[in-house]
Amino acid sequence: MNKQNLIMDFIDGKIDPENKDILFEHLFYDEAAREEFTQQIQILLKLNQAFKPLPVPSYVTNNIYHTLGIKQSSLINLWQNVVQSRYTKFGLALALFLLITLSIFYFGQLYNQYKSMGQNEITHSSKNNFPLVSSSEMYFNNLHSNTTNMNTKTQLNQSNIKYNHNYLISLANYSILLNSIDNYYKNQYSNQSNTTNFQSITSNHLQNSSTNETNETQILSKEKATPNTFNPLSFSNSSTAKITNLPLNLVYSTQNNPVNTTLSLNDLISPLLPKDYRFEINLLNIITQTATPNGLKNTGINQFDFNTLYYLNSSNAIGLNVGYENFPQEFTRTIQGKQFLQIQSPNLIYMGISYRYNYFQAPFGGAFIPYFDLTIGGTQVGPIIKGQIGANIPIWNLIALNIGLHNSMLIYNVENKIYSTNKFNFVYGLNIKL
Amino acid sequence: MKKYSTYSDDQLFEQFCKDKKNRNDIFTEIYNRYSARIYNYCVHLTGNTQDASDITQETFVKFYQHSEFQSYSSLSGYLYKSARNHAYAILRNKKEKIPLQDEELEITENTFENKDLSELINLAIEKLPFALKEIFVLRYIQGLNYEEISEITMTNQATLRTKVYRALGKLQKMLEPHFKEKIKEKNK
Repeated sequence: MNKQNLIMDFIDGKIDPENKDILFEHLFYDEAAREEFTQQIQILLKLNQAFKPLPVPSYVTNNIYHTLGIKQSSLINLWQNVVQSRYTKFGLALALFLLITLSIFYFGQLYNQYKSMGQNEITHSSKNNFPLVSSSEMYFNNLHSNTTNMNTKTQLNQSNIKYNHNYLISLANYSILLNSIDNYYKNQYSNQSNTTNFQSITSNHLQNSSTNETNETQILSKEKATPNTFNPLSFSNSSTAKITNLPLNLVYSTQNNPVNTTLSLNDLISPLLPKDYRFEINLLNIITQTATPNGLKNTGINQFDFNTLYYLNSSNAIGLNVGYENFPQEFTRTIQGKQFLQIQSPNLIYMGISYRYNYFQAPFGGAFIPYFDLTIGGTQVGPIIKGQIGANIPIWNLIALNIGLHNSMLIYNVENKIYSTNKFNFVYGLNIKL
Repeated sequence: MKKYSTYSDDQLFEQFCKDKKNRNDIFTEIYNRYSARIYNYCVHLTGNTQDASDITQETFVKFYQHSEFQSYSSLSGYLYKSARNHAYAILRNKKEKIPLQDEELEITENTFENKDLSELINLAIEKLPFALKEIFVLRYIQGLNYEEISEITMTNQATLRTKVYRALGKLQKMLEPHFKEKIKEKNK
């Protein structure tokens, strides 16, 4: 029996022990043949993974039955026309995405309510709708009987302020509260020039109020300053603060919207693309927490990341990244010769160029595809660098669930001093191949 | 219709020829069993889903309308052969070249970049000469035995085994750089 028949018999499982010994003896002495044989076996073993059977399109079945005049059972019709349709699959994926989003939003709310129980919230004062502070000095003096000189940066730095998470959020609450009251004044006293958006909290106050929020709330309520006491101070980052109050629909649909998501990117640039181009869209929800006048909120569905990728080859892709994300900021400012620490939590629109690497050789037979993503871009207040690691979990042919860890770094300048916000978040969403 | 799901292919085929009253139900059972296999076979033969859809429709419509099955020993044999004939007809109508002889295999080193073995196998099979590809697909992707393939392609079994062996050899040669690359990576 020749080598071909021995190998074919072995592959077909029909080789007898005697011939098997002959084959293996031959392979033992002939290294090249052994290598060939091993590779052939590997190819055959991989064949099942290489070919995933395609389902018969429902219109083919309908045409056949229609031509033959056979009435299909209603269940078969339902299965083929509804359940198997690509629109249904897309709809189910979208529904799943919304369900996860709303669940996280809902449980986030519950968690926040639970967390805030027993805490004396600084935001209670927002119900009074009082003008809080116009003169930071008066505010400061009321808060602390021992007057501290805050005029120099050196002293501020020496104070060695450290914040815990809750405290930071409380202060962020406070900043938004002030913005709300600011808007109140804009409406009530439109003739007043340049209503300010600043938040004035001294560093000393920061140190003390974390341990004595009750005291702070009382004092804030007592301060019923008149509108005239507002000083028209200019605020270099006022746009940042205003963004905090932007309604969500502005971002999506107004004519001034810088991001036109209805435009078909494919239509626009397809003449410029090579023949075998491949696009992918990632819709992500970034899970962070932000502060509102009513307390700590999970951002839920109001933060997103939209990433369009063009694949250079099967693993490497470049693309455009657009998003809307919350960035807690903490910086010092000098107002009327006094130095203040300002903390705010604006939502910023960012745009950038991204690079993605997909690792297709991951184990578990393509059950998930790990990726690394790097974005460099800009926001209204400064440059941004974003990194993301995660995995796409294929659901259907063109749609995958996307989960990952996401790191954003916002760099911004306040009074010639560079600051940065660095945060880690969990992200999830959909990955759609076009 | 439920009762036909327990029938073997031969029983179904026999019933389909004899039982005119329940012909539609029997056809539905046959269609459920074979439509995906025939469709995927056609995708491999023609290389596109549109032609595969047309051929699948033609095959099953002709099967239903056909009344003389004496010359066919098996249900799968009839369906595959019918699909194959339609595929050849479509390809000839399109004046596409169907190389029945071996041609030079072209697969560049760039092809191996960033692709796993499954993807490469797909590519390599597409590059096989048509006559080898067809038989390899029937044997290892459709899972037919040599007897069934012999009936479909009207080729004797010894020749089929040789063709399958040659196809496997060509696939191995095309994918050899990938395997060598993997060995290098392991040794690093």
